[in-house]
Amino acid sequence: MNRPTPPPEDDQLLERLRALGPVLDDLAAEAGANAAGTGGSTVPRRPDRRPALAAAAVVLLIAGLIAITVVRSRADGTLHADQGKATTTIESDRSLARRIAGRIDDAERCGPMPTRDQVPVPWPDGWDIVGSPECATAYVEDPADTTAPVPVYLEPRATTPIAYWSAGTGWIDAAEYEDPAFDLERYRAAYQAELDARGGTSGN
Amino acid sequence: MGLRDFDVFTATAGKHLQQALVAAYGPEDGADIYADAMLRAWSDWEAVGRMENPAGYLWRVAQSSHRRYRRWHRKPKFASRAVLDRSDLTDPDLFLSLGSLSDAERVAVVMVHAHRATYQEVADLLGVPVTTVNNLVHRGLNRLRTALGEA
Repeated sequence: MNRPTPPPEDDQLLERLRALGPVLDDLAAEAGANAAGTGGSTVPRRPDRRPALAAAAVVLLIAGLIAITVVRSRADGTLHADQGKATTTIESDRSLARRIAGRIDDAERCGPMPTRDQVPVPWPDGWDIVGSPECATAYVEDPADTTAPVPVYLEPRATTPIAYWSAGTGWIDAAEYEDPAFDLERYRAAYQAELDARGGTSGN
Repeated sequence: MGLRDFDVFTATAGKHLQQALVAAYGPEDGADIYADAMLRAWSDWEAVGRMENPAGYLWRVAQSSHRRYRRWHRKPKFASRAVLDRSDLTDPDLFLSLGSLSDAERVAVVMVHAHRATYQEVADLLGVPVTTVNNLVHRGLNRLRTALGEA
């Protein structure tokens, strides 16, 4: 059922794709064996990223110092230095709107949310399914009529939230939501503005 | 639903899961994320093995693993330099061009045309309607032809 239509004989691309299947299987088997410590693969595992991270930290430090200098000289309100104790970058309204629009676009591309009969796992009463912009689905407990985002769990039981969700904000990663610098009201206003611009449709 | 045999699952639906994760995140990271998902499946097989669609469930688990992976490590890349530099890679241009597709398009194209999965099998695995898979394959092939200069 639903087998792909046989390609025309001159369709080189489909032939090349068909030949790629066994190659991918071999590469995956080799990578898996390597991960288990039984292979002699030429595919390296995750490289040591400490040198790159150290270099990135130096670059960030220099960039931060430059930014503070610029802020103090211009005082344009987009960056605030707190007496040299901490520096917080405030995302511009345009950047936030662009990020939210991207998330809604991505969520819409995931298609409709699955229904109860399409979901293979237990789905207890009082729980609902929500989707991430990357098409992952997870559970929220009784989200009806809530204004504040509720915790999103991988399974329908309260564990460590992987995200937070409300109809007025959509899916927000836990790391972003739990960041002290996260401004929920600003995010919600930007999200609502984006929805309004699209005629009130939600990506989730 | 009775308890499935873990080995049988690994050789059938689990194989599709592995192929889809490799298509999404590349041979190296896809294999890592697959191993994480199967470890979880094994440790909770009493529940997972009775599910209607364990591979679909584990695909979702893998998406969550990928999110953490991406947050703490880096964005997995399908066409990594390590793979492209291999002398035994017979079609590096195709491999590189597949890397230009979105993850969802690549999974759909690779599963349907490289691994000969049915549209329904891919839809079940990804938890999306068959029409979505159809669209992803169509769009992915068009983009692939453009990237390869076959358009």
